[in-house]
Amino acid sequence: MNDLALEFINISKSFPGVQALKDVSIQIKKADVHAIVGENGAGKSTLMKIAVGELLRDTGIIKVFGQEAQINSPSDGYNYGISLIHQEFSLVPTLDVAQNIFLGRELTRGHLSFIDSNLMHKQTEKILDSLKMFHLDSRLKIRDLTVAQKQVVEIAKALSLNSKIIIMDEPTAALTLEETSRLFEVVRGLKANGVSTLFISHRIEEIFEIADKVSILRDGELILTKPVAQIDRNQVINSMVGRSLEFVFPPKVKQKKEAKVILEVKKINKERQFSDVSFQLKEGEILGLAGLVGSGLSEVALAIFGLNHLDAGDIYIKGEKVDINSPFKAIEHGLALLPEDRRELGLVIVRNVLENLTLPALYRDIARKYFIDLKRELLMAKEAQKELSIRFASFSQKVESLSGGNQQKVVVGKWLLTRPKILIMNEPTRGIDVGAKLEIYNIVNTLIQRGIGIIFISSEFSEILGIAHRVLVMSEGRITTELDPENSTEEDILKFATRKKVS
Amino acid sequence: MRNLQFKDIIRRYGILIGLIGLITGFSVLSERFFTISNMLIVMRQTSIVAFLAVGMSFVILGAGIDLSVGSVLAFSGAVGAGVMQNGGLFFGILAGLALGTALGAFSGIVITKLKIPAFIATLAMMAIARGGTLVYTDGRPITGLPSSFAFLGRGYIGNVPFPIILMLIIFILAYIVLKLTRFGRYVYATGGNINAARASGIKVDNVIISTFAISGFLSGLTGMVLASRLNSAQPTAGMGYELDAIAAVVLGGTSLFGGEGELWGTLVGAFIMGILNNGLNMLNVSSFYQQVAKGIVILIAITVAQSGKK
Repeated sequence: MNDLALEFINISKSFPGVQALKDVSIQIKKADVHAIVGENGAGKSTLMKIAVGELLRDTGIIKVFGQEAQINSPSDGYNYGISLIHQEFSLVPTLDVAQNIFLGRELTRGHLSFIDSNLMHKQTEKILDSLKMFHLDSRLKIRDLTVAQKQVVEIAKALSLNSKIIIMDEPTAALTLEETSRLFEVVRGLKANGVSTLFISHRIEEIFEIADKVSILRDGELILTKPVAQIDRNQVINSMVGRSLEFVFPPKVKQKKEAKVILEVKKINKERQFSDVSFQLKEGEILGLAGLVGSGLSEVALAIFGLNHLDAGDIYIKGEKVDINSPFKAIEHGLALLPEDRRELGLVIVRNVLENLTLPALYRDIARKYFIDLKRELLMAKEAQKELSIRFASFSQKVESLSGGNQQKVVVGKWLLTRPKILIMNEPTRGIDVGAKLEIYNIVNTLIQRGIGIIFISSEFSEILGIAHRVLVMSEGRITTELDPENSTEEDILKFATRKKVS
Repeated sequence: MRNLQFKDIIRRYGILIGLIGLITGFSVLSERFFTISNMLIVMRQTSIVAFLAVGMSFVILGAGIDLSVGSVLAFSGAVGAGVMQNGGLFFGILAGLALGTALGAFSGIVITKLKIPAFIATLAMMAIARGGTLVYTDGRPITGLPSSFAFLGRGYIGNVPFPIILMLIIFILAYIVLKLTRFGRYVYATGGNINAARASGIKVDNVIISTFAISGFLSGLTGMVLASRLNSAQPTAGMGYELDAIAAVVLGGTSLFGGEGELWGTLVGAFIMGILNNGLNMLNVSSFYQQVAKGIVILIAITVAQSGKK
């Protein structure tokens, strides 16, 4: 029994109106990579927060290395050598890497306890070296780092705390394939050093790649814990959703032969972001844009939508040259953008569902002159709710309180109400669960039947192949190839997505 | 569960309960406090803070702050009064309102186009407008205003002082703008998340400039009402009023981060400020201690309101 690092014994937790966890018992072995999976709201994050003391359990016992642990407040987890790496980082953007790693326990020297910056940087470099897959300067400010790099800083912080148990809450959600495989190298390194990793993920493939064991939660209950060798992909999905859900992409809707080009991008350039990007989009077409994070795809999307000014190049809509220098103009030309980061660009998180749904449509459709037609507004919002089957208790509920999938549907809904002709979707299924993903794919297929052209940007290549009619791959700001998804594999995309500039 | 409901009540109506508590307290301590004539006086005093606080609500809902309202009030009042001496009542009031609106809009333009934080931009405007007032008045009050001007600040309709009626009209208009118009929605959305608002096709710069223009307009109006009340434009008018206005808005539950808050809360907040002033006077508390008392009450109120939120 003494090879157990962490044990949850009959953990229960309820929030007002919800039983978040019911009698959950899980054992995590020393040096194991243990995956915790489940749909959004299954209780994964709650359990992890209880493990470090950020949330207090109602009942149940936590044992660390065989001893009952008193984990009752947020710092208790650290005292027992447990670190939780959040989806939303707890780093200070204006401080550098070393300052963040030693935040609150700065190394000092001399009788007056001056901060010893050199020592902090030296130790940081040492830890970063042990994660040698990532190149990172300890003097860089956090705000200048990519998501993947911030992740590494969090891991380095945990290591500097001598944590024996590291919990990662969806560490790969914002990482590219390449970065993910590097992260897995790091996790394997941790394992070799006897560190246990709890790994929360939505991507089922990853579990089979990295984990030794998997525990599946559904509606706050533990469904099963098994070595990954004894379970397959479909079993995992079925246990997660509690119903048989063949995870296949919905059949593709055929394009009409006589479909007209609605959007043409000609040789658009932006210094240090992308160069000579050209493509066409037809009515009813799903054009997949594939690339790793940092490939310039997001910047291209923002540029077409008027949120990023072009240095050179032209954009044509229905054959006419347009000058789009603001989202206001973009919307006028029938464009809509589902942004990569919905909390940052998609939603006003403190306002309610109704106001978010109708925000862009107020100007042209819902308001007469200055006044809002409240009846019409509610009618249109209900239409969107029904069409996308968005689930919420009331229109006056804050969007903050919705699940990730439903938040994403609110963003889709707000654009549908503007009746767009071109919809740019940037990572539309990031951070949402399997069921909601499938719903998004179905929505995409319905929209193209109405003649809407869709630009579907994703760094999940299986998804791009499963949904798009045509795939363009981008790397380092340039389009490297066009692929036919019927005759291509994820490896093909990866090859072109990592192709370096020929100089 | 009972505990939860209690918190819910505190969160939603805490400020109203505070107001009633304050009124009850002063009524017990002073028998002259809760009389119709004194209540009308309280409301007339409140109207000054309320005008400013309504404008401040627009600004703060849009995630801004306006420190210049007290100075803009003084400058508009002085220029309005100056123009009135020769140009007559109509052009005088028009000049006061126009100047207030223009100064507010100017702050808004500095904030959005030069990308200077609202705190700094309006702090600068506070100094500029106060200095402008002193230059324009040469440091002396402007008197000799037409007798018809008295109605704005000292007039009655029936038994009700005109400023109270004006306050209700402003409040209702502002409420309609915030709740029923596209612009009102845009203010909430811009304050809640400026990037998402811009990406939804809202011209956020125009929204922000408009909120500051509204604040400036209402500062100008307050300047004119105050000049009428005192029958003169004072160069030191409105000193420190920005703090009362901000306090009223925050007491009313509006988030300083923008995007969240209701106008009725602002009105209640303004009343609390007015009642504190009046009640402490009734109890013969020295004006030095009054400042201390006001500060403490604001701290208590905010603490209670926040405890209801978590």
